[in-house]
Amino acid sequence: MSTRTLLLPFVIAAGLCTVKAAMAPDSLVKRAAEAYAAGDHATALALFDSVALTHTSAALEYNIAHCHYRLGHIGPAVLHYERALLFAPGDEAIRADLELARQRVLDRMPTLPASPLRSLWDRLRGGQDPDQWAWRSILLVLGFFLLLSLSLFIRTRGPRLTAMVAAFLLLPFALGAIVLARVRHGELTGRGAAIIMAPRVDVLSEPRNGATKLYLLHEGTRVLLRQRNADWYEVRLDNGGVGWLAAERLEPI
Amino acid sequence: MRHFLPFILLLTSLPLVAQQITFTATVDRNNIAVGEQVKLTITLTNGQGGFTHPNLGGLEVLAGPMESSSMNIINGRMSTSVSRTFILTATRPGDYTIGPAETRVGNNVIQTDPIRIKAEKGSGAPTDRQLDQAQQANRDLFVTLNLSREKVYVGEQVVATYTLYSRHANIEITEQKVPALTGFWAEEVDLGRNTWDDGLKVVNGLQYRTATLKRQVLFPQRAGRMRIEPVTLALVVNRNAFNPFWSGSRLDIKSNAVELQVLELPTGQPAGFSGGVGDLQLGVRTDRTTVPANEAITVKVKVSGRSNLKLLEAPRLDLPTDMDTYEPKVTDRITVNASGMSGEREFEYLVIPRHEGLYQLPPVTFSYFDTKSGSYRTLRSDSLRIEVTRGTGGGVAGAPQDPAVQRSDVRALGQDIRYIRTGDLKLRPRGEFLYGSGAYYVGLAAPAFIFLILLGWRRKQLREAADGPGQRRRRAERVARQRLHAASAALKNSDRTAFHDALAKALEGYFADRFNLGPAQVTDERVRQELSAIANGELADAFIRLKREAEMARFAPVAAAPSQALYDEAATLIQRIETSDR
Repeated sequence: MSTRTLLLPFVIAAGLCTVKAAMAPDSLVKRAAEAYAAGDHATALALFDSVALTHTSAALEYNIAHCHYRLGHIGPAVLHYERALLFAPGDEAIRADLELARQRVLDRMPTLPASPLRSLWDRLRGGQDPDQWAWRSILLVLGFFLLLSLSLFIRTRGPRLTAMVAAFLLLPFALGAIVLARVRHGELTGRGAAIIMAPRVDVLSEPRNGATKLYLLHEGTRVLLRQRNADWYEVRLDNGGVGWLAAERLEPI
Repeated sequence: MRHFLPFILLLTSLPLVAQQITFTATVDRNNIAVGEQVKLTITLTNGQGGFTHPNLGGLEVLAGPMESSSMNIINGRMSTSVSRTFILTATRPGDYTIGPAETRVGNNVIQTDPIRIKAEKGSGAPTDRQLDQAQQANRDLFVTLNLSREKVYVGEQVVATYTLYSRHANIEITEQKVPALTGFWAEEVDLGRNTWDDGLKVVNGLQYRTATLKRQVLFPQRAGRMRIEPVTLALVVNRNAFNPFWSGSRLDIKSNAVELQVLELPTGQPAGFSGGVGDLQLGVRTDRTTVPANEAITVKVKVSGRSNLKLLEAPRLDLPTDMDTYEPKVTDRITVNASGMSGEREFEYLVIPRHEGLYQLPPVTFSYFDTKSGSYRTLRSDSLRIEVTRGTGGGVAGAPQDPAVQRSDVRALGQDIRYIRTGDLKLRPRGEFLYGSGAYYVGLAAPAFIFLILLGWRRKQLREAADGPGQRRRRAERVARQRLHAASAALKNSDRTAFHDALAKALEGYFADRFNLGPAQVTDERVRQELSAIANGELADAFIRLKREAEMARFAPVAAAPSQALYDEAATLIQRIETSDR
């Protein structure tokens, strides 16, 4: 008896809806929102999940997390809030609701105090569109070369120098945007952390069954992934402990 | 005649007052248990003649009609009254209606109002088996203990009746030991005076007089098989008041014991279960729907029916947070009779809204266990709309409304996740990112590439612009050709001056451009010097000759006709210089 068994009907329903999802994700989202408003969270979840097979966004992950939360699936709720937060790091609502979901996780995790610098960085990276820094970097590079080109064709000495200075002032921003785009891409595609999905799971000292048990973790707890070995992940706990977990017991964010 | 009139009126009014006719039918009670008696009295005051008996609607007449009549004369006014009394009983539970009785007054027929009687299944008679058992102990005198039901839920009411059966005429109960009831909450039924029941009961061929000793409504408090211990009586029978030597005989008798099966209430109690078990209705009303702020509204929640009413908990009023309420006042109108406990319990809430506005109070819900269907039921009232108008303020009347006085911190009531995102979710295909895609690198590289092309072109342009003499030389032929063209136009117009002028300019200009000289530097020596390298000085001679001819023609007073030959020669010459200097 685990969340997987509980989720089975939704997975089937999601499978049935795959074809429809490819056709009209917007209408599915609308129907899901109606079901959610009517308090039918299970139906809403099945519909949102079917959209999520082909599409994704911060808002979609947020809604899926809400459905799981209402249905009492705390592991999936935390997982999807984390995913939503990954898409939109600076979003206050997601952060607050993730905090509420975490309060229902059995393992108490040391939460980092919210530093103003950290939240500034989050807001800087943030936004709903994961491509925003890629677009910005393209625009800044374009601007840099436009200004340079302009300076080629200006005959007067003063304005020509101004254009060139402006171009080289733009250059660090362009390079910074490229770096940020790269960081965001790494965050979104990398598998840095994972959420425990089984109700309770032992962290072992070696990647094999029967190894020494080091820690006991519960559903919804977040671990950092270090490396993968066949069906096992080496994980790092928030308290600094390191051990091995079966890959099927957790879900990378 | 005038002062006779009041006198006649007085005479005629006297019999009118005396003959005020009333015709009523009354019963002593409307709710009975099966087998209980109800007294019906029909009274006709000042009527003439008799009246017809009503249709009793299925009730059985135990006794009657018994007629009584009276006549009063008070202060000369006479009134008569006839009443008939019936003792009725119901043999089966149900609703009975006693129809109207009729009497005739002149040409009119007066009717009484119909009366409703509700008969409920009462404690019933003891079963034959119980009677047999009890009778075996003492054929002349025994007590039975009987329960109205054998199988009940926890909290469901059951009526226990202790009945005395006697063949002795004279009985005196000296001691009555009722066992303590554990696991029950009991409510005594008031039996009134202890008297023998009317009529005789026949048990196994013997006639008995019966009397109800005690009747209790029991509410089991826990599940399981519960045993009710027998009651013990000490009696003296056949004491004769006129014979002091015969003090009667002492007897101790014991009733039967009974067992009751108490069922646990099923699981899945709704939230806010009131503890009610039975059959209940809910009624909610308010004394007013419009109220000034800070004044009280009374919300009355009435629960009525047959149940363990005295054990009901007050339903919770789900009020908006800026309304205050207090513990409800409980008013009971409960009757406990042979059919059990019924009636109503009223919870009166005092609700004080603190702020003006239009409020929709959520429905009052009341959950109980319905013994008929064996399931929990939740009753729900309509939601109440309350309009709170601006109050007079809690302060001194006439004092200015000072908002600071009533200010308070925002109250946090609970924590919950927010609502889902609706509208445009900004969906994007899963796993596709601009960064790292081909389009991204093209987008980055394209401006750089275009810039490099622009840079190369501009460099070339600048280099050429910096190379002045070369450019002048390259342009020399084109400029000369333009000037020759002007000369050719003058030739056509036979404009002699203009022709020679253009021709001279073409030649001199060409030479100056070609060798990067100023206009004054075009001298014969210079021409010879520059052109001698080309075609052994032949071209130099031709050039100097042509130049002189053109100048002479320009300044000569005698006009030489514009010559096509001269023009052709100049054009050829320029062409030759141009081609030989490659």
